[in-house]
Amino acid sequence: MIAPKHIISIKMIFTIAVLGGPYDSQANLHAFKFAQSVIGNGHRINRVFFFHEGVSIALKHRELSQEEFDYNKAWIELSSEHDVELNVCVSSGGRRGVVKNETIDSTLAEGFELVGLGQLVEAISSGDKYVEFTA
Amino acid sequence: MKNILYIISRSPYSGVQSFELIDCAMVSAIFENNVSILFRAEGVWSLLGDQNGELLNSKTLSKVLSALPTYEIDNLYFCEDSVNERRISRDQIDIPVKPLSLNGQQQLIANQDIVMAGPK
Amino acid sequence: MSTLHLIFNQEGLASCKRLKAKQDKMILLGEAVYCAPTMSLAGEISQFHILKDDFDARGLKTEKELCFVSYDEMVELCAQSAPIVSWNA
Repeated sequence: MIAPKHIISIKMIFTIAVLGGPYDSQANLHAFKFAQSVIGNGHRINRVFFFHEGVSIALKHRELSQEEFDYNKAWIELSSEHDVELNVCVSSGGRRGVVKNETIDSTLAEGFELVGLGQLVEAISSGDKYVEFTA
Repeated sequence: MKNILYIISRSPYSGVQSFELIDCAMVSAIFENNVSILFRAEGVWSLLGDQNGELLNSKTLSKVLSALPTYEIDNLYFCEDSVNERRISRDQIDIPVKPLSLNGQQQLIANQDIVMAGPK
Repeated sequence: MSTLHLIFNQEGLASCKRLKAKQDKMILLGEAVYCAPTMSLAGEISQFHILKDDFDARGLKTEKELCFVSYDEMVELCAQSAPIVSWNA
């Protein structure tokens, strides 16, 4: 008996870069919805990397009105539900006020991690697809 | 090892984004990827010699670019059309960079695994 | 694999058009969707995709046969393409 042919859909590993802030561009909207679809279609995300002005999502203190969508919260929920790392470029972050250290008040939001560019390079080297969301 | 292309389309000194992208290129090369950089559109202004970032409290981009070969980044290209449209003469360009036609750029892009273009 | 171009604004569209290869696919997102109603898509219509949410959100309408995509379809296009290039300038 000949076994039925199966269509094998290859699952991919995506690295997603967010290059714009949550309120100066659609970068976070696009990246977040894309990330949800990546996961929904059975692929994996090895890292979401926040670079250039994208680092501002990781600022801890924000006051939003009720109608405003909270991207920070959305990313953190996605990260914990699906084990996705939220990495913020440490040098881009530092110059834009996203910092974490013992001597001054940290401004880095929980759930985000400050990392070097090597982490982005490592992610794209080991992943299958790299997608950039910009302004 | 991946083929990674950085596309620089904006002029230097209106923000730090070009410097940040070049930093990323250098790190990619340290991780032994095959790194290329394409300067196009307003990005070709990055190639001028005699830049002096100090006047703007900034690093000097052309100096950063001349250090790229020490990171084994030798595949530096510029868009011929962009340079011609801006009336930049070849002797104003101070770094080892090769001209590419639009076809050449298409080919370059098609040969990559990853392309990073940076923010607006 | 052919290249997929993600186009985020008008400048990005102009640049992409000069540098795309014949078989490449393009997705207009964000500000770039404003280019769709006035684009002449003859001959290329199957290659230009438009992110539906971004088009609808902006109140844009069209009588043309535009090729809309959802985020799921965008992921599928990414899975089938390499590299993926983002254009904003």
